[in-house]
Amino acid sequence: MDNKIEQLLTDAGKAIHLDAAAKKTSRKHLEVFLFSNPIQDKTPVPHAILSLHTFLRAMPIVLIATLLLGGGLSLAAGPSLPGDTLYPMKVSITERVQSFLTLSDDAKNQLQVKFAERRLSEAEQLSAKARLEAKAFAKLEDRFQAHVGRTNQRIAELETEGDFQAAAQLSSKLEAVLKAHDRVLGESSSEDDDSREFPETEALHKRLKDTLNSTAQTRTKVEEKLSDQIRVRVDSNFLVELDDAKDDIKETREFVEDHEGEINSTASIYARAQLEIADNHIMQANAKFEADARGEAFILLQSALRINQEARAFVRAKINLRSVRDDRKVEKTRGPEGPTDPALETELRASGTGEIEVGF
Amino acid sequence: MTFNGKRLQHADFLKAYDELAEPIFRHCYFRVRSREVAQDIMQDTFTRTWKYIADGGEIDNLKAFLYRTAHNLIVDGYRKQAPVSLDQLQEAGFDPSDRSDQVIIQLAERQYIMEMLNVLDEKTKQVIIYRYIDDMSVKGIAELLEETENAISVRLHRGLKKLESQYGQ
Repeated sequence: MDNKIEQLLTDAGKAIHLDAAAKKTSRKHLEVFLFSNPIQDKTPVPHAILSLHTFLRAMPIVLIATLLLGGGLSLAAGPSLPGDTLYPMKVSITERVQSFLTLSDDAKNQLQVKFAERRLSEAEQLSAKARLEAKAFAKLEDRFQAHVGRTNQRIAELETEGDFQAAAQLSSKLEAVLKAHDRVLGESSSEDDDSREFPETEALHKRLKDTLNSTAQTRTKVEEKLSDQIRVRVDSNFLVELDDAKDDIKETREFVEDHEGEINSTASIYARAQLEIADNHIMQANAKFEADARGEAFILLQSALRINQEARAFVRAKINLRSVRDDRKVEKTRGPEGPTDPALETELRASGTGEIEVGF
Repeated sequence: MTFNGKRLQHADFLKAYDELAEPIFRHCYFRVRSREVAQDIMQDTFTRTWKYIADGGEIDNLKAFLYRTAHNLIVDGYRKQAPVSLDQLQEAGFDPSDRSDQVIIQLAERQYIMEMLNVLDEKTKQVIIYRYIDDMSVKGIAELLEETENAISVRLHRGLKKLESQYGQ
């Protein structure tokens, strides 16, 4: 009799199922709940309290020794380009140290985008200096693709973790940088006759366009996934983000005005036009939000942020290129006796227009 | 499925949902005898568990934690509905020998089983459901309830005996 009871119970259990549609709906609600209740990061941020012991234990000894002995060199390596004596230090040590010292997830996510932008800026400067040779190009391109690859990997990880907002923001940032430099490379070939001597510049530009297209596709897909979730987000979050975006656009506008004299009028007009478009997207986002079309509102906000970032990256790149072209004029004027060490060139440059560090 | 000290991420938790939503729903269904209430408890189980994690709680065994949470929600007094009995169906002119009605018969029988389970005390009913509805091993149940395997085996045996005496009448 026991067996019959057991069999009845087992059969009864097997016959009960959760309705597929109900399970799917419940899962969607759970996803939104997860999104709205992120894990609280209770670990202390050790920006100021990182103990020397922890620092030394975690960091490879060669990096520590290099920092202790070569701190000044590390700083001087900053503006160096492929082919310069200090360039290996810049990519192998300074940037690695920067990676190690970057602690917040948000900053870590963006660091590879920053490095990718540096590689593009270096390629543009080499091209402007008529120094973009095959060997230098190959290494630059490898490093650029490595940074883009790590960024894409991080975007995929964020998607897997369900953090679609961070994934959308990171892919948007990468796209903004790539678009800005796509334009810079496109304009450089018409502004500077010397750059036409290098087929590598055209090859780099083509690779950049391919990467830009695939990044734009990734960003669109992630935004679609996020816009479903965004509909149930607390209102106040979106309004705060709109305000932050307006402030960002205002800052970029001030940046363009402050550096008006360092870029040509075409670049200035383009940057200002982009900022107008960004402002317009903010207004549209606000209107969509008021009309409860929150998914569309979010996508418009993201678009405004991306256009703003692109305008800023474009102006930065133009300033750096102008600086390089000015240096070439100085070198041609000074003749062969002039200094060629990049560290010393930094000092000379400090008296005039300096390189604008690519930063966020 | 365990997440021993490992910080849960969204994807891990959703994977746990995909695997355990139905078993937890089924368990709740046999405890509260209402599909709708069981779905509510199942949903609540996952959201409360995530809230615990998001607030910094650590979980060694997610499956066990989810079942304990579901149990706590059940005993906290979710509404229970009376099932339809076979007698009531027959009184309505329902012919159990008709093959087209076999599914309904089986459903009624299951409802009857749930009524039977109610003759058991809550602790015994819980163990019977874990063993035969949720298909857990005696060892698994012992770990979940933090009791000895022997205690679980004894409770199962007594529960089945009681059901046999009720069903045999």
